[in-house]
Amino acid sequence: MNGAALLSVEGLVKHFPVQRSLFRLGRGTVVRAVNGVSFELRTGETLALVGETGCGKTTVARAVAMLYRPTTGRVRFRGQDMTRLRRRGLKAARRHIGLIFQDPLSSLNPRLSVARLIAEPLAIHGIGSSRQRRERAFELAAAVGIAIGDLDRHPHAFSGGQCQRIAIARALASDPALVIADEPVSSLDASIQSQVLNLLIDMKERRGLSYLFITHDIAVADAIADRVAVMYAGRIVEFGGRDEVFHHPVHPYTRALLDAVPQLGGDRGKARSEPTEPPSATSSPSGCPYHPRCPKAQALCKETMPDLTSPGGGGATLAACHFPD
Amino acid sequence: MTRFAVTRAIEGLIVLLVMSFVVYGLIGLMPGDPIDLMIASNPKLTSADAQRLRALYGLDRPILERYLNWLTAALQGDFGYSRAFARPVLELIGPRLVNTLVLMVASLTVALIVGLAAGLYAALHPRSLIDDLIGYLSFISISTPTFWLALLLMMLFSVVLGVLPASGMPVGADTGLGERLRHLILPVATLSLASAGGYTRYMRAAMIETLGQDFIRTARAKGASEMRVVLRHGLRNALIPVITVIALDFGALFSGALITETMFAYPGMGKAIYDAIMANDFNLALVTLLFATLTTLVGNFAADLGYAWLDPRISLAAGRAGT
Amino acid sequence: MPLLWGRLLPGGVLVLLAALALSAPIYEAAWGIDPNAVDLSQRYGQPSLTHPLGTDELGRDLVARLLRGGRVSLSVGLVAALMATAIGTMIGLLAGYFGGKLDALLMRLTDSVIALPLLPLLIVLAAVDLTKLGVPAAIAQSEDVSLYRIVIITGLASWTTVARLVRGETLALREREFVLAAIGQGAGAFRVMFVHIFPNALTPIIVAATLSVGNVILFESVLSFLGLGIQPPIASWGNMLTHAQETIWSAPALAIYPGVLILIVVANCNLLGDRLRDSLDPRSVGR
Repeated sequence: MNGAALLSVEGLVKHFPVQRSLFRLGRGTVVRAVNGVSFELRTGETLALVGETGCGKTTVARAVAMLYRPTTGRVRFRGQDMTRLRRRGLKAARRHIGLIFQDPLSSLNPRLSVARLIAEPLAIHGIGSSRQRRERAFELAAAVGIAIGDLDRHPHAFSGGQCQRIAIARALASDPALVIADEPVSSLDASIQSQVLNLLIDMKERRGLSYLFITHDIAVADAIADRVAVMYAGRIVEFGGRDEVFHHPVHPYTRALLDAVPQLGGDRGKARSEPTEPPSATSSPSGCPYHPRCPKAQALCKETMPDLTSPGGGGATLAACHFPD
Repeated sequence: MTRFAVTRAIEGLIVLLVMSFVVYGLIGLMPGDPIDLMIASNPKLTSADAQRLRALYGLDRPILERYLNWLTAALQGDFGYSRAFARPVLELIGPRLVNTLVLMVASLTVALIVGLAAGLYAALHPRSLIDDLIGYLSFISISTPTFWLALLLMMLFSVVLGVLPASGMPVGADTGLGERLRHLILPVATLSLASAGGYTRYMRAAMIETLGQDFIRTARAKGASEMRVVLRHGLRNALIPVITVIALDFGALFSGALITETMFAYPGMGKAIYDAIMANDFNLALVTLLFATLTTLVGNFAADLGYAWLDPRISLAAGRAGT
Repeated sequence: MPLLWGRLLPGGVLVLLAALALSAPIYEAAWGIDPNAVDLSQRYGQPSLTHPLGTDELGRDLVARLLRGGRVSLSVGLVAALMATAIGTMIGLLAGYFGGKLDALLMRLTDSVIALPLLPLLIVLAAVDLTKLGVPAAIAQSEDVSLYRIVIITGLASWTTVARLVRGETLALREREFVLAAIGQGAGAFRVMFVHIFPNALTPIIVAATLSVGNVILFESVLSFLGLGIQPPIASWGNMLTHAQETIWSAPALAIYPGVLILIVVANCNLLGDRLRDSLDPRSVGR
């Protein structure tokens, strides 16, 4: 829990250019998907990034994995700045990162057998002979609960839950230090969700993994996270230990988010904020991006963007709000 | 819009420049060279003379240098002499270019009228007997070799029926308009039949796609007359993809024109290219090829502008933020 | 197109024609015929027991010529279409995968080639004197060289459709999670393109390849017809029509058979391609 920083993200910004027409007329606008995100992930912990669809959490995950080159900012992983790595260095670093995606079926190449899928990270990094890789795939399949007799079949022959187990096995194949899981259970049925979550927790304990866990589902984050970062409009608005954030939220947005979840929010009563239009990623308002929806918004909120700081109630939580609870 | 037009025009010029170099290089690789041909026609020339002639014409220089010399002269309007006709190339091209344009424009018009009408009808009556018939005919049109189609038409109208001339457009200035038109019928029929099938298929597909879209349903729900829905809302939107395809097809249309002209001995650019290449008439081949490229690029460019004019998104995009 | 014929019938027709073309030697042996033997006493022969469809302007057996021509036209079509598919696939993969400037450049190239008047350029290419490219005269003047040359020329003319299609597929596949997973695990461009993208783009590639077989055969036939493709005495359906313009007056059948065969083959390639595309269309299958 209190290990050194395995991953530290500093001032991450990712803008996507918008191509407006076939002929690229007009000046380029950008989608500001991630607008200055910083956090640390310690060895052995699970950090959950939570937020609504479109808040930029998937972009953060993909930028950390260098699937998108960050516009600015740093991503330090095991002491190396990933944004400065090229080809060989990046490839070497990627061996230590496992990836799990939301849609298990579409994250598995339909043309490859399950054995090849699981062993692919090993093949990419040239680990072992093909026979050894196949044996390793068998071990991993057994560890995630896939019958060994099925390994020569293709992903279409498996259910969503089984596919996600296969994806987990693949993510673990090269013995990564960090696993980035982007909504790994949200496309699964509720009963399967808890099985896969338990598998992830189990794997983490046995293999000493660290998770960067992206989810929109507060209950899932509550079940797996050690610490939680709440994102809104491309920024982290609240950051702290799971229990503090979920039981004593200080940012009005976190509170609104929790109010939408009955079993966690308890008897806080009706949602305090009237959810309006989610912010447009191309034209964000000045000041605090949440002010148009915020019940506590004042003149200051429309002008100045609050920093992510300790609100001073004695807790370890950080919040980006001028008027925290 | 202006910027778009200028960009496209510049791109077209670059393509033309690149093509001129490629074609120049290829022409140089054709059998025989001008000096060999001179020697063949004049036995008194010795190999030393040949060397001198080569140096005189700059044929011993590297290809890039020769090309640049040619380009400099060409840009000043000097395209050299045709060996076969012993006249400046430019003089030969004028009437042939006109003939080809007459053939292409006439055929394109016929093909578009037939193709768009047939495609529209088929799209409005899908799965009907006539739709099936149109489908098969257009399929045959795209699968038939143009030169063979020309043969069949010749056989039918000239040999069997004996009503139309099979070849030989009269060139003299005193030829009557009626006679000229009679000679145009078979070439135009060939070229338009060869292209109409493709246009029919594009039109049918685009129209069916358009008629299935929401705004058509909205227009119908608003109580617009069927005629208005089809013509005003459907056709305009369906024409946008069709025009793109037609633009891309200009090159193919020219290829078809070459075959048609060669088959019917029609004195146009296509036949000139073929004859020049067969006769080792380097200058003529080079320039006719470049004019052919230019013709298709201009056709393309015009269609691109038509596309931009029809598609409201392009003109509006410049003033609108976001998507 | 309605399903008047069975779904795979066009494929069956093509296989049948290919089988017939391959059986040319059997026919020749059975009738004791040399397809290239000129017999001027037998010119324009009527169909008979010795010559089932008669003879051509040089007294050669028409059936044997048609079968031999079919071998040439079909194999040129197949090989050149494969070549075109390989070129188009490479260009499409590179453009779609790397994007940016390379994509812009390759797609401009593709669009330019599409816009060009191809046939005149192919005629120039067909007329190029290979000895000037340093090919030894013995090879450049051999009979088979016209075969290789036509394969290369028609292949060079037909890759554009495949390239645009593969690029589109690559752009779509590149955002799929299994491709992102491979990249994120450290897979290099080569591996992503050939292990992950290419196999998943294979079905549309096969459609485009099928359609380009028809296209190539059309190009081959017209070049051979113009005397710039397959050189006699090797028969091809195109060069069998070279003299048809003179013979339509006296022996129209000579102008009919090869053309009908070209039409049948090209139409069936196009039909097969259409059918395959329809059966892949998500709107007709549902996903």
